[in-house]
Amino acid sequence: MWLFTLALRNLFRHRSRTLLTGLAIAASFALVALHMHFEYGSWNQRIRGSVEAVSGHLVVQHPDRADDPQVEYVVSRSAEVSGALQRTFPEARVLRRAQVGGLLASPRNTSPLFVSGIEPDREAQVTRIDDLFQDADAARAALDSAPEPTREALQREAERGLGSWLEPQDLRGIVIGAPVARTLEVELGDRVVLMAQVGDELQSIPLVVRGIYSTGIDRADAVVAYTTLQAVQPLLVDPKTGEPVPDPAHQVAVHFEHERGLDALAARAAQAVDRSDLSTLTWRQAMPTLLRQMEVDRSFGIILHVFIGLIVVVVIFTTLLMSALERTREIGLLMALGMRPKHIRAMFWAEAALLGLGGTVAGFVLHLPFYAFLAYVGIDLGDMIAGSSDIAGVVFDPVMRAEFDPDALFYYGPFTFLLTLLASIGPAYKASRLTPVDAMRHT
Amino acid sequence: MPIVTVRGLSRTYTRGEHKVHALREVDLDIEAGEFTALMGPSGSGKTTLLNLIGGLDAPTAGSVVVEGTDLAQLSAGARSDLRRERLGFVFQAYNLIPVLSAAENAEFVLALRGVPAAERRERAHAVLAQVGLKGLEDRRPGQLSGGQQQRVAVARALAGNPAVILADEPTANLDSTTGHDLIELMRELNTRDGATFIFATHDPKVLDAARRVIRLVDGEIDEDNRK
Ligand SMILES: Nc1ncnc2c1ncn2[C@@H]1O[C@H](COP(=O)(O)OP(=O)(O)OP(=O)(O)O)[C@@H](O)[C@H]1O
Ligand SMILES: [Mg+2]
Repeated sequence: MWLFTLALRNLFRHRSRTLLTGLAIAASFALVALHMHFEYGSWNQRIRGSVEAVSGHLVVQHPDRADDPQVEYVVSRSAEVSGALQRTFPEARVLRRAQVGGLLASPRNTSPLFVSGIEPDREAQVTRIDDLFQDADAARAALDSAPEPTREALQREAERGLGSWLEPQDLRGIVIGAPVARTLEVELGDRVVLMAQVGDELQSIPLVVRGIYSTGIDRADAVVAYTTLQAVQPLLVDPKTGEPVPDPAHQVAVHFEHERGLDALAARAAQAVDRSDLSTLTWRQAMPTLLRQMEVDRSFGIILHVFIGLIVVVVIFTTLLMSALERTREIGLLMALGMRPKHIRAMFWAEAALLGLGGTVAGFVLHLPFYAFLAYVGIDLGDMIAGSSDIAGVVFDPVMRAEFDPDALFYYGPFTFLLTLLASIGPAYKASRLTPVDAMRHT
Repeated sequence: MPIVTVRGLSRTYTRGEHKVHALREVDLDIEAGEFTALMGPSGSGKTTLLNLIGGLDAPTAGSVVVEGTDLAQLSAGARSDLRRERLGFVFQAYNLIPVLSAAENAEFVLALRGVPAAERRERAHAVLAQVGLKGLEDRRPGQLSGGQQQRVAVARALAGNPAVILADEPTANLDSTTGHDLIELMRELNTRDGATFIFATHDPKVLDAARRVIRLVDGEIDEDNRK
């Protein structure tokens, strides 16, 4: 106990230096924790978006499609599969999709994009694109009677959805992003043609623009359009024979309210589907590239965190070394009075531990308001996040928000503390190695 | 058996090219309960001898045996233990731990020994009162005069009831009355408790009180008189 008393008093002796060092520890912890929360939040956002738009919690698809989303990797008799899954999981949302890449052409221009062939009513239960149209309608209705200050916001809201989401029976409808509409110079009700390669031939499907949406991320909106599954089914043929496949889709996705016990659910789903030509995957298995990217991101994060940690080590090391050197005579006295060298080291470790603990706790407190800002206000990354095409149609909200990453507390907190102790080893040994007389004669 | 036995003790410092023989083959026995003064001109080796007896420094040659234990056989840690359990020190300067109060300094050795807080606090107050520092227990060294600091150091040396107290010019920074009182106090402890004292001093008052005076010249014992 008296060791801690000594350590605490020694820390208080150089108040400003202690404060500065503690602040360095606090700042580094806060910085890393904020980075972790932000990464955690944006990855969760991305995963949620991907689960919504790309896979579902469970997905039944061609075994090779997870690695290589080729157009010919299809699920035949998809309605049967969908029905079996819906019977097994009555509360779940089960939906079929097909994704084809092609050119959308108007009489004036063409635009390369991905078209998602969907079941409109079912898709509406998971996607948020359809909400844009409803919100825009509501905004337009409110606009006339709205007071001046709110008009601008309502106006923006109204511009996010023109027309409507697809009707289930509408086999010729397409919903496109605002940038596509601009490129093609088309309006609601205009005719467009989807052209896609099937085998060696170019197939074209005539469509009518029913809705024009804008999520706020133009680069994402420029590459994703929605039409009905039936409209794109003719493009899904058997790759060997070139013959049509009965009732094809690319995937049957299952959405649950939560993802607890997903592996067991996957096993039940596989049993219900009972098709050797299909595989049933959890979203983790279905999106290996996403997980790989996340791992890469994490690794870079860890490198950054270790680097910041090293800076902390250097700061603490210099502080403690300085304090060991100026206190040499005093340390000689302590040894003369009967403190063993290991007690001297323990005293330095106690100082470092108090400094590390104080710094980490201060850092935690310090980072909370910033975290709150990042979590509730977020950062509008705008088009920046749509820079990579794999995010298109997945990230819906350009505002990235932090989410509390428990690792920051349970892994980086103790790590910072350990780093502080690590940094004190050298100075502690240096201080404890002198003989008492040499130390006491030191000036 | 003497409490301290010194045989052929030499300490040579190397200062660049040239060697300083601070102590040359000193033989000395200190009996338990002796009140011994080391005197001699400045640079004659008094501090060096005290440091070697206290195991604070390692000799160039020769041996120091304290209560039957040869210091050369002990590790640095074991020498620390011996100092903590059996020896008391008053140094010539820089005696106190600056971040601790007078009472905390006085009880420090007891704290190291693991004496319970209440007991050592009581003891610290008692010894501080003995050296005339009643009421100043909570002052930090920086808030005490040089003489008061020296008395705290003496109080600390007394607090642990050591077998041998090694004091390097304990009265050097004290006015004559305080110095006198301190000597009286140490004499009293010596006669009443049988504590063994070895001082280095120039102070005639200490020499008067001493029952044995050893005179060092150039690192050798020149005279050794028992009264
Ligand atoms: N660390 C050292 N390095 C070199 N020489 C030293 C060292 N310590 C002491 N000496 C020398 O050893 C000799 C004895 O020194 P010591 O301190 O023992 O003398 P002293 O009798 O205590 O003197 P004073 O009365 O001035 O305190 C002196 O010549 C001194 O200069
Ligand atoms: Mg001296």
